[in-house]
Amino acid sequence: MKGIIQKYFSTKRLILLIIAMAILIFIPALENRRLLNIAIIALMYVTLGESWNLLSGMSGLFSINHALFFGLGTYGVTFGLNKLGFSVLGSILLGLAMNLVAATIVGYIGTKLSGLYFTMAFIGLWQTVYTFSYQFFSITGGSLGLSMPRELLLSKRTLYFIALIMAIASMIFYQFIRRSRLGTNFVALKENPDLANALGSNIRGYRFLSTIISACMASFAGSFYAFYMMTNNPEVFSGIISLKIIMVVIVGGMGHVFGPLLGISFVIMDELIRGMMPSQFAPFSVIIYGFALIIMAMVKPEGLISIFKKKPKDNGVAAKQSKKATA
Amino acid sequence: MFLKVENATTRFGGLVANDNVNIEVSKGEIVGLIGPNGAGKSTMFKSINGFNRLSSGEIYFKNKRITKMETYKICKMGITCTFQHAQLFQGITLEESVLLGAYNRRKTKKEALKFAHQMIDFVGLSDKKDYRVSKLNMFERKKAELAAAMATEPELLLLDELFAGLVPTEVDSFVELVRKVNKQLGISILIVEHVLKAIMSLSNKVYVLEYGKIIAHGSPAEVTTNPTVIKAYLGGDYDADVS
Amino acid sequence: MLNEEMQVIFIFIERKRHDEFFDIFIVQGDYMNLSAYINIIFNGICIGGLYGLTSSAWSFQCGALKFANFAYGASLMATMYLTYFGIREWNIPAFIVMPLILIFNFGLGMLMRKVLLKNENRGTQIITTMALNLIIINLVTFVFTGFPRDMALLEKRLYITETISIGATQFTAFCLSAVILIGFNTFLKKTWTGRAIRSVVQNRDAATLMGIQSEKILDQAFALSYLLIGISGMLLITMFQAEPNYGNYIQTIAFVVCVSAGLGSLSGAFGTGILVGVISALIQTLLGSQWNDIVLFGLFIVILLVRPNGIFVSKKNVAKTF
Repeated sequence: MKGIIQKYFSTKRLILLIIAMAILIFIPALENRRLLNIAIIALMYVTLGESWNLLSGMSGLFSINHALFFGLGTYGVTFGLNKLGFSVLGSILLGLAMNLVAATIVGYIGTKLSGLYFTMAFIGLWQTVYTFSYQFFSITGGSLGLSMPRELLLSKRTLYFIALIMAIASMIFYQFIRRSRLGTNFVALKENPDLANALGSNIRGYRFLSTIISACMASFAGSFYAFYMMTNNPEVFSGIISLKIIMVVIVGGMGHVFGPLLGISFVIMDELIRGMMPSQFAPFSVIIYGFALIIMAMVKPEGLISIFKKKPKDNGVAAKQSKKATA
Repeated sequence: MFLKVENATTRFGGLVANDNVNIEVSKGEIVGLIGPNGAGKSTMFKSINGFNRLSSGEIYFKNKRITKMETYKICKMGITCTFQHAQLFQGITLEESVLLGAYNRRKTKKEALKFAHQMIDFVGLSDKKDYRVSKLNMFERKKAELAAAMATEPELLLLDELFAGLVPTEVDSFVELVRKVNKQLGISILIVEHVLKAIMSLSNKVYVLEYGKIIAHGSPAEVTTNPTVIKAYLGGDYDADVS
Repeated sequence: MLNEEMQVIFIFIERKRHDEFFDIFIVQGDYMNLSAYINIIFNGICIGGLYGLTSSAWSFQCGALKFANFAYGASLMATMYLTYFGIREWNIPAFIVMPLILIFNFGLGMLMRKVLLKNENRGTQIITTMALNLIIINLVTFVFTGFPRDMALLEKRLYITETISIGATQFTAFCLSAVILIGFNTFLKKTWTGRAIRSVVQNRDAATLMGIQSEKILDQAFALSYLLIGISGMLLITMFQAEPNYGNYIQTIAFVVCVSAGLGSLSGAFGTGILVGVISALIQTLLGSQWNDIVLFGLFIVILLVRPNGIFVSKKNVAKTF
């Protein structure tokens, strides 16, 4: 009986999945440029969200400037193509390499010290890179940015499918990590690092590893953004992007693979509303984001995903059992 | 020489938590470590586990020096501990908590999961393996922590106040469980405890700590009749002629 | 028309003066004499003292009270803006503005403690305060626009010798921050509330058992640290331009200072604050101001990598916790 129910749910999920895929594949056919742009950005935030989710939701290390990894990916691509004359693959790898360096520094600090220092180190590194990208015009192009070669311009449809594949791949990757040996160690690291250490989990190593993996995921999203924008700009490092990344996860549900997928509803809403408002109201969207994030984190820390989850089956039983034990 | 602690001294600033402590545990033994509150029992445990650094002295395990080793490496060598307040991993299921321990010596998930199930069966929680740890009661949580510790396949288990906060009937069944761990799996046990009844019935040898120093050791019967121990537990004014 | 021309001329004169100023220090290396160095260092010390005051507030919040407050920079920046607008734009007398701002800060601190920092979870604290940081920044941008604001106080200089001098406002700010920090330290050491704060910081449960209402004491302590932020914000606006992103900069400066002093040490924060001020002043004159942030924050990363417990702090035997 139980098996049948499980099977039933899995087919229901399968149908849902097929419908979702059909809609996602259908979107470009609408030929609506605005919708397509919004979809691309939203899908990119899924990838970024999974990256943050892996670092903070799974391993419990809080990076509040995740745009650092994202921006380095973008700068790697534009810098490699514009200044160094690398191939496309080479410049993506350059972004990845830059991210690896950043993640090594931050991750190393994270392994030695408590989580607060990790966050502080992240902010310090972010400030350094952000200032560097503004101040050193000859290298980074300053606030104008570096433009990409014209021939690399991709059609929006292609970009959409790349973003879609990236988002799905990141979700599968997240789930794969969660189910594997790494995931168990990461979660244990978040829940109770001392006990995890006593049970033979090399928590320093795992902390480091989770920073590196997260940085690589964000780096790919950043590289993609370079191809989408065809230029770069120090604003890729800005706090607003970090806020959106975090919000996507917190609103959706931290530590859950489908969290970012639900969370992007906010990004979509924002993109839709922004078109209607005059530009001086732009700070308002950030304010609304901020309040949404605070309210979600305070009131419903488990995120929107908890609405869709069934109530855990052990809820009532455990209470009964403990009552029996005391009786 | 299985576990040997030689002249271990730990200082926190001016406070001397352990002062020239010598402890020996042979293979297959259950050794108790008792003492009044603040005597430095937990500090000793943390030192053996590598959470603290000793100020001076050495710790050997299976003839290897483990004094300045990282905790997880000590665990790989075969020493695992449980913590005083059984918190475990609140957010994940019991199965996964034990699975983490099982990954210590097993590479693939399949093997580790199989072993984790064995251990959950051993402590008798197999019907609750899908529960979140936060949903378990104290007794079950302590059992779960024991299962997680045993899943690392230790040769020496350090149990820190395992019976604290349990009702007497639970203590009795737990004592049986610990004995089973020792007899069936051949795991040596070093145990810190306040419930004297339990520790006296369990252990082959008892060390008594007071103000960071070992004041007596020997079989439970010897220790309970030792005047210094009685003095330490009941105060100086107490006349020791009960013995 | 005339007005615009005047402005252009004015800017030209300003530029020229600026160049002349730097001529002395950089362009003609021969002029870079001892007294110029001493001037720079004095300048650095004065600013550094203020850095010390601002950082000690964060050190107290984060190191002692264990609240992860990443909205600290934005609160400081908001204070600076309010001071500027209160005095310069709304023409409210300073002696009314200052208490009002202190009350505002006290209220903000209380509100944060009651709403955001009520949750003990470190992660939630980090995320919510980070969100508040961006909310404040964008609120300020929306209300006051992102234009940099400057009090433009007339620079009076106190001459020690013919060539060596200290800016009067800077010197006053330095003295004030020193006095306030000493006062705060004595408050923590001598008064009942101060002792209660310290005991709660050390062991909350034990303090509660001794009849201290820990939650209330923590509220008070946190609001008190916000008073420090208010004071340092008012002092900062006398020297620096306020702009929406200035908060992030000063927050990172606070990290540098606190980490090099050891998190939680107030007097250490003052000392290292001065050190950071001097280093910053030297970097700006020797390498150019664009290097300031990069070198300083790069240094912060290096300190975190090499001596995370503080530069002058010897490594203690503490139980490892993660």
